Amino acid sequence: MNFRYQITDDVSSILNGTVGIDVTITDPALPGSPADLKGLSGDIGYAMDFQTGEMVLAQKAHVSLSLKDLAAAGLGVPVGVAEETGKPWLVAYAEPDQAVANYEVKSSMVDRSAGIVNCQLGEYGS
Amino acid sequence: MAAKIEQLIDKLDSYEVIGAKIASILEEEQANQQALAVTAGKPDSTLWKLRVLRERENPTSAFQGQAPIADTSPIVHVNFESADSMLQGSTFTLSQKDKGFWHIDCYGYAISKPDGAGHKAGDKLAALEAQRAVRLVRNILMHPSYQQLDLVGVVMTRFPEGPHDEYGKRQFQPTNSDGQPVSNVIGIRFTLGVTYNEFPVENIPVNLEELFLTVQDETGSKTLAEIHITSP
Repeated sequence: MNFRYQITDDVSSILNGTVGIDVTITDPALPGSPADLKGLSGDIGYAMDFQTGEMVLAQKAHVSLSLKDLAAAGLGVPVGVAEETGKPWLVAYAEPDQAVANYEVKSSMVDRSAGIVNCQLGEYGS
Repeated sequence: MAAKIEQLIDKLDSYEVIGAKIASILEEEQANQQALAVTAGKPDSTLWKLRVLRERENPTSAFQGQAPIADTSPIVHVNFESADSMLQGSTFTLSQKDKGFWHIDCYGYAISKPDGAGHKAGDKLAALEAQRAVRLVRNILMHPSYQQLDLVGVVMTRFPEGPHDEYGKRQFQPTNSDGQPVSNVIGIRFTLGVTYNEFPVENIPVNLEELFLTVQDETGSKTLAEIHITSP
Protein backbone atom coordinates (compact mmCIF):
# COMPACT_ATOMS: atom_id res chain seq x y z
CA MET A 1 0.00 0.00 0.00
CA ASN A 2 1.08 3.55 -0.69
CA PHE A 3 2.72 5.00 2.41
CA ARG A 4 0.50 8.08 2.42
CA TYR A 5 -2.63 5.95 2.40
CA GLN A 6 -1.15 3.80 5.18
CA ILE A 7 -0.65 6.87 7.33
CA THR A 8 -4.25 7.96 6.74
CA ASP A 9 -5.53 4.50 7.70
CA ASP A 10 -3.31 4.45 10.78
CA VAL A 11 -4.61 7.83 11.99
CA SER A 12 -8.17 6.59 11.68
CA SER A 13 -7.28 3.37 13.54
CA ILE A 14 -5.56 5.28 16.33
CA LEU A 15 -8.48 7.65 16.86
CA ASN A 16 -10.99 4.82 16.76
CA GLY A 17 -8.94 2.80 19.21
CA THR A 18 -8.42 3.80 22.82
CA VAL A 19 -7.14 7.30 22.11
CA GLY A 20 -10.15 9.07 20.63
CA ILE A 21 -13.23 10.27 22.47
CA ASP A 22 -16.80 10.46 21.22
CA VAL A 23 -17.38 13.54 19.08
CA THR A 24 -20.65 14.46 17.42
CA ILE A 25 -20.18 16.71 14.41
CA THR A 26 -22.81 18.42 12.28
CA ASP A 27 -22.14 19.64 8.76
CA PRO A 28 -24.21 22.84 8.14
CA ALA A 29 -24.99 21.39 4.69
CA LEU A 30 -26.64 18.42 6.48
CA PRO A 31 -28.21 20.09 9.55
CA GLY A 32 -30.41 17.16 10.56
CA SER A 33 -27.72 14.51 10.21
CA PRO A 34 -25.05 14.77 12.91
CA ALA A 35 -22.32 12.15 12.67
CA ASP A 36 -20.71 10.34 15.59
CA LEU A 37 -16.95 10.07 15.17
CA LYS A 38 -13.89 9.62 17.33
CA GLY A 39 -11.52 12.51 17.84
CA LEU A 40 -8.70 13.94 19.94
CA SER A 41 -9.71 16.94 22.04
CA GLY A 42 -7.89 19.62 23.97
CA ASP A 43 -9.01 22.54 26.10
CA ILE A 44 -6.49 25.16 27.18
CA GLY A 45 -7.39 27.80 29.76
CA TYR A 46 -4.60 30.35 29.41
CA ALA A 47 -4.24 33.21 27.01
CA MET A 48 -1.90 36.13 26.60
CA ASP A 49 -2.35 39.27 24.62
CA PHE A 50 0.99 39.95 23.05
CA GLN A 51 0.11 43.51 22.19
CA THR A 52 -0.54 44.62 25.73
CA GLY A 53 1.23 41.86 27.64
CA GLU A 54 -1.89 41.31 29.71
CA MET A 55 -3.03 37.85 30.68
CA VAL A 56 -6.55 37.09 29.52
CA LEU A 57 -8.14 33.94 30.83
CA ALA A 58 -10.49 32.14 28.48
CA GLN A 59 -11.03 28.63 27.25
CA LYS A 60 -9.68 27.58 23.88
CA ALA A 61 -10.79 24.13 22.78
CA HIS A 62 -9.81 22.11 19.75
CA VAL A 63 -10.59 18.71 18.29
CA SER A 64 -8.68 16.63 15.74
CA LEU A 65 -10.57 14.36 13.37
CA SER A 66 -9.65 11.81 10.73
CA LEU A 67 -10.26 12.96 7.15
CA LYS A 68 -10.96 9.33 6.24
CA ASP A 69 -13.68 9.09 8.92
CA LEU A 70 -15.27 12.35 7.83
CA ALA A 71 -15.42 11.19 4.24
CA ALA A 72 -16.81 7.81 5.26
CA ALA A 73 -19.60 9.63 7.15
CA GLY A 74 -20.45 11.61 4.02
CA LEU A 75 -19.22 14.90 5.50
CA GLY A 76 -17.05 17.60 4.07
CA VAL A 77 -13.98 19.06 5.79
CA PRO A 78 -14.97 21.35 8.70
CA VAL A 79 -14.16 25.00 8.22
CA GLY A 80 -14.97 28.21 10.02
CA VAL A 81 -18.12 29.95 8.81
CA ALA A 82 -17.93 33.75 8.97
CA GLU A 83 -21.31 34.50 7.43
CA GLU A 84 -24.06 34.72 10.01
CA THR A 85 -26.81 33.88 7.53
CA GLY A 86 -26.13 30.15 7.96
CA LYS A 87 -25.15 27.78 10.73
CA PRO A 88 -21.52 26.98 11.50
CA TRP A 89 -20.02 23.48 11.77
CA LEU A 90 -21.14 22.20 15.17
CA VAL A 91 -19.15 19.88 17.43
CA ALA A 92 -20.24 18.32 20.70
CA TYR A 93 -18.14 16.29 23.08
CA ALA A 94 -17.49 15.90 26.78
CA GLU A 95 -14.19 16.27 28.62
CA PRO A 96 -13.78 13.61 31.35
CA ASP A 97 -14.73 16.03 34.13
CA GLN A 98 -17.50 17.89 32.33
CA ALA A 99 -20.90 17.43 30.75
CA VAL A 100 -21.24 17.46 26.97
CA ALA A 101 -20.41 20.89 25.64
CA ASN A 102 -21.46 22.40 22.35
CA TYR A 103 -18.94 24.13 20.12
CA GLU A 104 -18.69 25.70 16.71
CA VAL A 105 -15.71 25.33 14.42
CA LYS A 106 -13.96 28.73 14.35
CA SER A 107 -11.17 27.65 12.02
CA SER A 108 -9.49 24.48 10.82
CA MET A 109 -6.09 23.35 9.65
CA VAL A 110 -5.94 20.36 7.34
CA ASP A 111 -2.89 18.11 7.12
CA ARG A 112 -3.52 15.81 4.19
CA SER A 113 -0.12 14.21 4.60
CA ALA A 114 -1.35 12.75 7.88
CA GLY A 115 -5.03 12.59 6.96
CA ILE A 116 -6.11 14.72 9.88
CA VAL A 117 -7.88 18.05 10.42
CA ASN A 118 -7.44 20.14 13.55
CA CYS A 119 -10.46 22.28 14.36
CA GLN A 120 -10.22 25.30 16.67
CA LEU A 121 -13.48 25.54 18.56
CA GLY A 122 -15.54 28.28 20.13
CA GLU A 123 -18.34 27.70 22.58
CA TYR A 124 -21.81 27.65 21.06
CA GLY A 125 -24.86 28.58 23.05
CA SER A 126 -28.44 27.46 22.89
CA MET B 1 25.00 59.38 58.63
CA ALA B 2 21.95 60.31 60.69
CA ALA B 3 18.51 60.25 59.06
CA LYS B 4 17.12 63.69 58.34
CA ILE B 5 13.43 62.96 57.90
CA GLU B 6 11.84 63.14 61.30
CA GLN B 7 8.27 62.26 60.42
CA LEU B 8 6.83 58.94 59.32
CA ILE B 9 5.94 58.74 55.63
CA ASP B 10 2.38 57.71 56.12
CA LYS B 11 0.51 59.28 53.25
CA LEU B 12 -0.51 58.07 49.81
CA ASP B 13 1.17 59.55 46.78
CA SER B 14 -1.13 61.27 44.31
CA TYR B 15 -0.75 58.54 41.68
CA GLU B 16 -2.01 55.95 44.18
CA VAL B 17 -5.01 58.14 45.02
CA ILE B 18 -5.77 58.72 41.32
CA GLY B 19 -5.76 54.99 40.48
CA ALA B 20 -8.15 54.26 43.31
CA LYS B 21 -10.30 57.23 42.33
CA ILE B 22 -10.66 56.13 38.70
CA ALA B 23 -11.83 52.71 39.83
CA SER B 24 -14.28 54.11 42.39
CA ILE B 25 -15.74 56.62 39.90
CA LEU B 26 -16.40 53.82 37.41
CA GLU B 27 -17.86 51.58 40.11
CA GLU B 28 -20.25 54.23 41.44
CA GLU B 29 -21.33 55.58 38.06
CA GLN B 30 -22.03 52.16 36.52
CA ALA B 31 -24.29 51.34 39.47
CA ASN B 32 -26.05 54.67 39.03
CA GLN B 33 -26.39 54.09 35.29
CA GLN B 34 -28.17 50.81 35.97
CA ALA B 35 -30.54 52.59 38.35
CA LEU B 36 -31.18 55.31 35.75
CA ALA B 37 -31.88 52.62 33.15
CA VAL B 38 -34.49 51.09 35.45
CA THR B 39 -36.07 54.51 36.01
CA ALA B 40 -36.10 55.13 32.27
CA GLY B 41 -37.93 51.85 31.72
CA LYS B 42 -35.15 50.20 29.75
CA PRO B 43 -35.86 46.48 29.26
CA ASP B 44 -32.37 45.36 30.32
CA SER B 45 -30.57 47.55 32.85
CA THR B 46 -27.61 45.13 32.96
CA LEU B 47 -26.48 46.59 29.63
CA TRP B 48 -25.07 49.42 31.79
CA LYS B 49 -23.29 47.07 34.16
CA LEU B 50 -19.51 47.01 34.42
CA ARG B 51 -17.45 44.83 36.75
CA VAL B 52 -14.58 47.03 37.87
CA LEU B 53 -11.28 45.56 39.02
CA ARG B 54 -7.98 47.19 39.82
CA GLU B 55 -4.35 46.07 39.56
CA ARG B 56 -5.13 42.40 39.00
CA GLU B 57 -2.96 39.79 37.38
CA ASN B 58 -5.83 37.90 35.77
CA PRO B 59 -8.87 40.16 35.64
CA THR B 60 -10.79 37.95 33.22
CA SER B 61 -10.90 34.84 35.40
CA ALA B 62 -14.67 35.27 35.64
CA PHE B 63 -14.92 34.41 31.94
CA GLN B 64 -13.40 31.02 32.51
CA GLY B 65 -15.40 27.87 32.76
CA GLN B 66 -17.81 25.99 30.62
CA ALA B 67 -20.66 27.90 29.06
CA PRO B 68 -23.16 29.12 30.05
CA ILE B 69 -21.34 31.53 32.34
CA ALA B 70 -23.64 33.13 34.90
CA ASP B 71 -22.49 36.74 34.52
CA THR B 72 -21.23 37.81 31.10
CA SER B 73 -21.20 41.57 31.75
CA PRO B 74 -17.98 43.31 30.65
CA ILE B 75 -14.99 43.44 32.96
CA VAL B 76 -13.12 46.73 33.34
CA HIS B 77 -9.59 46.53 34.69
CA VAL B 78 -7.87 49.70 35.94
CA ASN B 79 -4.10 49.50 36.17
CA PHE B 80 -1.31 52.03 36.49
CA GLU B 81 1.08 52.14 33.54
CA SER B 82 3.70 54.82 34.14
CA ALA B 83 4.33 58.38 35.26
CA ASP B 84 7.02 60.96 34.73
CA SER B 85 7.80 64.28 36.36
CA MET B 86 7.98 67.44 34.28
CA LEU B 87 10.68 69.96 35.08
CA GLN B 88 8.46 72.84 34.03
CA GLY B 89 5.90 73.42 36.71
CA SER B 90 7.85 71.54 39.37
CA THR B 91 10.01 72.68 42.25
CA PHE B 92 12.88 70.82 43.81
CA THR B 93 11.63 71.34 47.35
CA LEU B 94 7.84 71.37 47.23
CA SER B 95 5.55 69.82 44.63
CA GLN B 96 6.36 68.12 41.33
CA LYS B 97 4.13 68.26 38.29
CA ASP B 98 3.67 64.71 37.01
CA LYS B 99 2.06 63.12 33.97
CA GLY B 100 0.74 59.61 34.57
CA PHE B 101 -1.07 57.03 32.46
CA TRP B 102 -3.69 54.54 33.54
CA HIS B 103 -4.82 51.65 31.37
CA ILE B 104 -8.51 50.91 31.61
CA ASP B 105 -8.83 47.57 29.80
CA CYS B 106 -12.41 46.68 28.88
CA TYR B 107 -13.10 43.00 28.18
CA GLY B 108 -16.18 41.77 26.40
CA TYR B 109 -17.28 38.14 26.43
CA ALA B 110 -19.76 36.31 24.21
CA ILE B 111 -20.24 32.94 22.58
CA SER B 112 -21.88 32.14 19.29
CA LYS B 113 -25.50 31.14 19.38
CA PRO B 114 -28.21 30.12 16.94
CA ASP B 115 -30.33 32.84 15.37
CA GLY B 116 -33.15 31.43 13.29
CA ALA B 117 -31.69 29.87 10.17
CA GLY B 118 -28.33 31.49 10.88
CA HIS B 119 -26.25 32.26 13.93
CA LYS B 120 -24.82 35.20 15.87
CA ALA B 121 -21.03 35.08 15.80
CA GLY B 122 -19.46 35.10 19.27
CA ASP B 123 -16.32 36.98 18.24
CA LYS B 124 -18.41 39.83 16.82
CA LEU B 125 -20.67 39.89 19.89
CA ALA B 126 -17.64 39.93 22.19
CA ALA B 127 -16.20 42.89 20.29
CA LEU B 128 -19.50 44.76 20.55
CA GLU B 129 -19.61 44.03 24.29
CA ALA B 130 -16.11 45.46 24.72
CA GLN B 131 -17.02 48.52 22.65
CA ARG B 132 -20.10 49.11 24.77
CA ALA B 133 -17.97 48.92 27.91
CA VAL B 134 -15.48 51.47 26.51
CA ARG B 135 -18.39 53.70 25.56
CA LEU B 136 -19.52 53.78 29.18
CA VAL B 137 -15.98 54.22 30.52
CA ARG B 138 -15.19 57.12 28.19
CA ASN B 139 -18.48 58.90 28.79
CA ILE B 140 -18.06 58.58 32.56
CA LEU B 141 -14.42 59.65 32.85
CA MET B 142 -14.66 62.43 30.27
CA HIS B 143 -17.84 63.89 31.76
CA PRO B 144 -17.34 67.55 32.73
CA SER B 145 -18.13 66.63 36.35
CA TYR B 146 -14.91 64.62 36.45
CA GLN B 147 -12.60 67.14 34.83
CA GLN B 148 -10.31 66.83 37.83
CA LEU B 149 -11.47 63.33 38.82
CA ASP B 150 -12.95 64.81 42.02
CA LEU B 151 -9.39 65.55 43.18
CA VAL B 152 -9.28 69.35 43.09
CA GLY B 153 -5.86 70.61 44.07
CA VAL B 154 -4.23 67.35 42.99
CA VAL B 155 -5.38 66.69 39.43
CA MET B 156 -5.01 69.42 36.83
CA THR B 157 -6.23 67.70 33.66
CA ARG B 158 -7.16 64.29 32.28
CA PHE B 159 -7.34 63.27 28.64
CA PRO B 160 -7.61 60.02 26.64
CA GLU B 161 -4.05 59.50 25.44
CA GLY B 162 -1.38 56.86 25.68
CA PRO B 163 2.30 57.10 26.54
CA HIS B 164 5.09 56.58 24.02
CA ASP B 165 2.84 57.48 21.08
CA GLU B 166 0.33 54.77 22.00
CA TYR B 167 -3.30 55.26 21.11
CA GLY B 168 -5.84 56.47 23.64
CA LYS B 169 -8.17 53.65 22.58
CA ARG B 170 -6.99 50.38 21.07
CA GLN B 171 -8.75 47.06 20.47
CA PHE B 172 -6.80 43.86 20.99
CA GLN B 173 -7.43 40.20 20.41
CA PRO B 174 -5.87 37.92 23.02
CA THR B 175 -4.28 34.74 21.73
CA ASN B 176 -3.35 31.47 23.40
CA SER B 177 0.15 30.07 23.72
CA ASP B 178 -0.10 28.63 20.20
CA GLY B 179 -0.89 32.05 18.78
CA GLN B 180 -4.50 31.12 18.13
CA PRO B 181 -7.01 33.90 18.82
CA VAL B 182 -9.24 33.42 21.81
CA SER B 183 -12.55 34.09 20.21
CA ASN B 184 -14.78 34.42 23.27
CA VAL B 185 -12.99 37.47 24.67
CA ILE B 186 -12.06 40.76 23.02
CA GLY B 187 -10.33 43.61 24.82
CA ILE B 188 -10.19 47.35 24.24
CA ARG B 189 -7.60 49.41 26.05
CA PHE B 190 -8.66 52.94 27.00
CA THR B 191 -5.72 54.91 28.33
CA LEU B 192 -6.20 58.00 30.48
CA GLY B 193 -3.38 60.50 30.74
CA VAL B 194 -3.56 62.56 33.94
CA THR B 195 -1.53 65.65 34.86
CA TYR B 196 -1.30 66.07 38.62
CA ASN B 197 0.79 67.28 41.53
CA GLU B 198 2.89 65.11 43.77
CA PHE B 199 3.57 66.55 47.21
CA PRO B 200 6.44 65.68 49.55
CA VAL B 201 6.13 64.93 53.21
CA GLU B 202 5.89 68.33 54.93
CA ASN B 203 8.73 69.38 57.18
CA ILE B 204 7.96 69.94 60.84
CA PRO B 205 7.52 73.73 61.12
CA VAL B 206 9.95 75.68 63.30
CA ASN B 207 8.12 77.76 65.93
CA LEU B 208 9.09 81.38 66.27
CA GLU B 209 9.81 82.22 69.83
CA GLU B 210 8.55 85.77 69.66
CA LEU B 211 7.49 88.13 66.92
CA PHE B 212 6.82 91.86 67.14
CA LEU B 213 5.11 93.56 64.25
CA THR B 214 4.50 97.30 64.07
CA VAL B 215 2.43 98.76 61.26
CA GLN B 216 3.03 102.50 60.70
CA ASP B 217 1.77 105.02 58.19
CA GLU B 218 4.01 106.13 55.36
CA THR B 219 5.44 109.03 57.37
CA GLY B 220 6.49 106.71 60.16
CA SER B 221 5.00 109.04 62.70
CA LYS B 222 1.80 107.19 63.41
CA THR B 223 1.54 103.60 64.56
CA LEU B 224 -1.47 101.91 63.04
CA ALA B 225 -1.17 98.52 64.69
CA GLU B 226 1.07 96.41 66.82
CA ILE B 227 1.10 92.62 66.77
CA HIS B 228 2.91 90.54 69.32
CA ILE B 229 3.14 86.76 68.77
CA THR B 230 4.71 84.51 71.33
CA SER B 231 5.28 80.79 71.28
CA PRO B 232 2.79 78.73 73.35
